[in-house]
Amino acid sequence: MKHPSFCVVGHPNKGKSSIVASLALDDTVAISNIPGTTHYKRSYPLQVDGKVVYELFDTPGFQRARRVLAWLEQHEVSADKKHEVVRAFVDEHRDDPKFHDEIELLEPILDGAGIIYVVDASKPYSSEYEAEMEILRWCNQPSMALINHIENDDYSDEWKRALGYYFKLIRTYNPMQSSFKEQLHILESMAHLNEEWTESVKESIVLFKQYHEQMIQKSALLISELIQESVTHIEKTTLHKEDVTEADKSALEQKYKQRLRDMETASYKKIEAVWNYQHLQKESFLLPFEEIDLFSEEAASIFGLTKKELLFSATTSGAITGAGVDMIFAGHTAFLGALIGGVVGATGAYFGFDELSEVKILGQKLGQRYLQMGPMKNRNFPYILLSRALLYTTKLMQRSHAKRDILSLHDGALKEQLLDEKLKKSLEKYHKKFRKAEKLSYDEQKEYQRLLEESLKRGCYGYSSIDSL
Amino acid sequence: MNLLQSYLELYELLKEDNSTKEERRNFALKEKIEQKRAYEQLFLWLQKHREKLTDRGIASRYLHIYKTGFGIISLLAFVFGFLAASVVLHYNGSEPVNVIYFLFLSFITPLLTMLFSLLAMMKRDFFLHISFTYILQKLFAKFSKKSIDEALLDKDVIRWIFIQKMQSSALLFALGMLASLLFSITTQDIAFAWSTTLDISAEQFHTFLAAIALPWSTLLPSAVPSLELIEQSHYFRLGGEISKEMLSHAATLGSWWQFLAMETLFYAIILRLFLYIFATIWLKKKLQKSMLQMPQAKALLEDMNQPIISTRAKELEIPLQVEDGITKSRKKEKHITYSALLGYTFAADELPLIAEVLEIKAKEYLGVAGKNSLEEDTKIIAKSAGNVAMVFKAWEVPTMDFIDFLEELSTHASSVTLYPLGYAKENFQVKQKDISIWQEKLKQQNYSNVEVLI
Repeated sequence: MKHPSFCVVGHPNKGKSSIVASLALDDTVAISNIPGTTHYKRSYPLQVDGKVVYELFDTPGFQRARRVLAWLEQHEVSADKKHEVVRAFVDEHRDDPKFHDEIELLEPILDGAGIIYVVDASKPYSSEYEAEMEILRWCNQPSMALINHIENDDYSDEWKRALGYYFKLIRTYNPMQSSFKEQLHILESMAHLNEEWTESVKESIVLFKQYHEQMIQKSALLISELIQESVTHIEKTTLHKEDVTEADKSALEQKYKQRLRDMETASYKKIEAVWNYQHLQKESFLLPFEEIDLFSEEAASIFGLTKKELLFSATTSGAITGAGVDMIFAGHTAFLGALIGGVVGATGAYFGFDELSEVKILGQKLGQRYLQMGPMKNRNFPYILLSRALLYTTKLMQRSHAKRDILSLHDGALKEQLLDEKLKKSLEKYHKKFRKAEKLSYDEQKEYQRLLEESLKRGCYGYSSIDSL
Repeated sequence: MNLLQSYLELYELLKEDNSTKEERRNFALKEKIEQKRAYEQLFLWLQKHREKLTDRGIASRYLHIYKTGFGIISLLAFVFGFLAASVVLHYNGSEPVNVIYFLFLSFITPLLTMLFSLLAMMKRDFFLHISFTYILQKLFAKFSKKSIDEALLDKDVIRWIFIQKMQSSALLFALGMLASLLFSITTQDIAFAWSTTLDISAEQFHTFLAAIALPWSTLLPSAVPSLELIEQSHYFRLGGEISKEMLSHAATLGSWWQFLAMETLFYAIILRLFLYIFATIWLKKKLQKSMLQMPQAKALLEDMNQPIISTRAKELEIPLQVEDGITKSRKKEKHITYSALLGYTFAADELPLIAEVLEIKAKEYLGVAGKNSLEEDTKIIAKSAGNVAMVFKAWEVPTMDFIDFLEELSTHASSVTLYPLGYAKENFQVKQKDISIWQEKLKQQNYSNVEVLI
């Protein structure tokens, strides 16, 4: 059986493309108030592993509806043959540029697509729409009307009365303000247009939920990676001189801040991609450092081992070697070997550290002196970063793909709601680890992500489970 | 070892892998991977991609160093064990061998080191910095021409590798000791005795040894030293010579070896073997867990297990190109009389009121489009002559139906003046936004006798 398809049609500039953009979660759909922006039909299939579950068509608006209807009405046929007349019209005028837009919109309908007729109820009803609705009636395909409100005026009642004459199913849908729940309701309505499509469309509703769940999971993973990487990040600069100057410190600080900002920006880009945003315009949202204490540390390493690590390593290695000698002498040495070995190892490492750091092997210097910044010890930093990331993601989740305005990111109340005290408490043990530059175990990572997912779902849907929708 | 090899190979393959999500998902669907557990899925992927590994890759280079390093340590452990036991069992024929030395080496030391191992198992970072693998990883990162991720092996995995290798080395050390004991008793006639500065009676010593020998006392009673043997083999250094009583029981002094062999076998080998097996199981678990934690492995699993759902259009939208025409706009003028006032989608009876509001006059008021048929409109156009005005609903966007009508009208009338209108309830005032849309559309048209009054 062919998958169900739906063709979004209507008068120009009634929000067809906006509806398609919001239902297909695609911000590449060209939307403008200039009529004729959509010149060709464009398919938006819901695909799962390459298999199309249902298909949505965005189409140009009717341009010469009266002429098309006049042509159709010249052919007196019974109701069951009317769609054949429409097909004849399409066949005859396929290469006629005059009827390009009508051909584009009628073709998918004649191929079996359901009709979604879009009107703007913020404008009064006018009889010129009747030609369009009449043509659609000639197509004899399952259909529904979708009432959109582009502006604030409301002429819904007169529209409903007129639409009721042509369509059995009328729904109101504002693509600019639609929530995920409303999108699912529209899909539910589409499922009822044709009995044969019900199963597929219902399956697509389940898939849509799964898709959203996937996107939330991916976002939570990206946020958790951002927090972990940012807090544990260490910025190092090798020192070539004896003294550390203020300029060295300042340069490192700038580099460190920039790196953290870059990490955040890169992470947001990835989250945008997860939510299918390619052309998002947003307010400036730079990570503030004014209230965050940064610090730097001067240190050295040999083989990448710090002095402390090397000291411990040398002590225990020396002790073990000494213990081996003790064993060979069958304990006659009363573990003096281990003691001496440990002391020798520790002394060597302690006093020899600086000298060793100057030694060259294979042309490479064994040790390095460096200035280091990070991991971030500030307790508030992960929460600042997290609340920003959660707010950013929630704003994307709540935003309709039909919107083309600048995304506003200032919402203190939502920020508070997303990262409340309870969540902060639950996350503190993980942030403690980050501050020590420790990695989370597999289970800890999963739990951390789960907490973020719940917060995102609460922020976007008001529920912690997508199934509640 | 195999699991470590798999881990390293997976690490190497995933580092280099640039397969797409689609390819990974297709692989998963083809192999019906969803029914398998996560790390089994990774193994299956590894198996199918193993041929891409090279001898010069991170996995084989690291494994080479790893095997060589621990091979040498294992060999040394056995040799050390053999030598240590040989020194302890060294018998010069004049003084008996003190079994307490051997007990120290084969009973006390293993128990202490096993305790040490148990602590290391329980406490993270206990051995981390002296771990051979940790140093190896640091060195590898420092000198490897290819840069290597510092997290090639997880710290916890390194700890368990070290713990496991410690058990195997200790096991080999103990085997070396046992081999040395068996070699010594086979090649020499050793007289064993016991001697200590501490004030321990033969009875106390017997109780202590009986407790040690408890695990095999019923199975192998001959490997439990009797009180009689203990009394007979009590050796006092004072006097510098062996007591006559010891000499009279010289033949029985050698029978200590069975106890020493069993005690080595049980405490230094069997118990250690258990610890080794335990460490191996935990290392396996840690490796499996670490494998799942590898960021690239997580991404691979996600790509393989999550269906690819897409809702977006495949092709890019082609923008419509428009060219400017010559149709002009100018400001409204009042008190003009037209030959006819046409109302596009207006009824004829609505037009006099509109004309009054616009302060214009017309000889004729005619409704066009809307309820009219095309023929009716054609007739109206045909009889249009002179200066014709046409009002239209500015809130509705211009369609080609309108443009067609205008085009035809412009060929009959000497001039056409267009009046965009807003809602009647707003006194027909037009919104700037609506005017802009119409202006945009009309300026694309090439009508020299048409103008829009705004």
